[in-house]
Amino acid sequence: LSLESDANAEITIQSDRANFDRKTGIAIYIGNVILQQGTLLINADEITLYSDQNQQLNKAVAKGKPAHFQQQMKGDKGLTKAQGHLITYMTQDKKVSLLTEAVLEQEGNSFSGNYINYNIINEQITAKGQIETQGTPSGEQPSGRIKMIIQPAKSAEKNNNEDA
Amino acid sequence: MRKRFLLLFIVAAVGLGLLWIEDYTTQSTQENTEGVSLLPDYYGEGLKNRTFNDRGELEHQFDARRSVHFPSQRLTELTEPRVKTIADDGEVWIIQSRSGTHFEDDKRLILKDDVQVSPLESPALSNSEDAAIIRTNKLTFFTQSKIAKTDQPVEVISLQGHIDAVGMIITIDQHRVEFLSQVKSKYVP
Repeated sequence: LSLESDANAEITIQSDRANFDRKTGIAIYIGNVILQQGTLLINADEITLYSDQNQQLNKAVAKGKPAHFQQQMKGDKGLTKAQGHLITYMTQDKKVSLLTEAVLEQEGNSFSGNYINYNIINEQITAKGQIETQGTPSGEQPSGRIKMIIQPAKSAEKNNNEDA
Repeated sequence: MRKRFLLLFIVAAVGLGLLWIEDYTTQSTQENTEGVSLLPDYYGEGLKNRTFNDRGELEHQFDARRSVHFPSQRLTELTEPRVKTIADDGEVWIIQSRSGTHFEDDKRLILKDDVQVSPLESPALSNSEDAAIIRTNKLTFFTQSKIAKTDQPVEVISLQGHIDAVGMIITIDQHRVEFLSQVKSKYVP
């Protein structure tokens, strides 16, 4: 689980420039953008923030080549790190989706593919090689496969060796 | 012979004297008129100025605790100016400051000292619930295009959070606010 304190922390954003559309509530931060919420950190070239009808923030879409995401996990599990050309962070649902050259690393395990979905609350990761609807402009479906590297569980393996 | 010479001298002296007097009087009247034209031609307390668009709708309302108009420079010095400007879709914005200068020719208003900009739908100035105030120390407002610009530090305070930046452009009719550099925002969860 990620740190609970993150969920209640305020969101701070720094950037070179920003544009606000008061009617739609959309804010676009441009240039060296850093979004921070507790230990959650997103670095991107551009981040667009969306608000709901109560003017509460509910979505942040980060673009970069790639954009980077990281967050401290509970206990001493270290950082969850991720990247992709498009990172969408649902601030209220606590979900992150990574698109295009997506990579997610956690406790030595790594997942890569074209599309990765990560639920911050229950730490569930789903990855897809290729999104069905997406195709290259020329129409063929680029081959996209998922790659997972799962580290063997260290403590269990060590005990077995010692007993043998 | 001597008499004639004396007479000639007296006539010349009188002529020169008259010339000098004439020169002196034109110069001082010129100074006076220049002085006069630099002076204000009207001064008012609590003046209200309203501008309507060609559809007869109120576009701006201009109040000032004190206004002093200078005809030769075609400007008005304002104390505590307060501009109520209305976007095309009817949203009202209030812009006010401690002092300001209105330039007639290019319909430009320069506001200084504690400048506050606020959309009336959340009239921070009457402390309503969803207040949003933009603060800076100097702002140029082009009344015709309803665009406000500054290159100074800007602070935005609203219920959602707080923004600091340097430089800003507000395009009222398009409801757009651009922050030009060093943007730092805080959103309260």
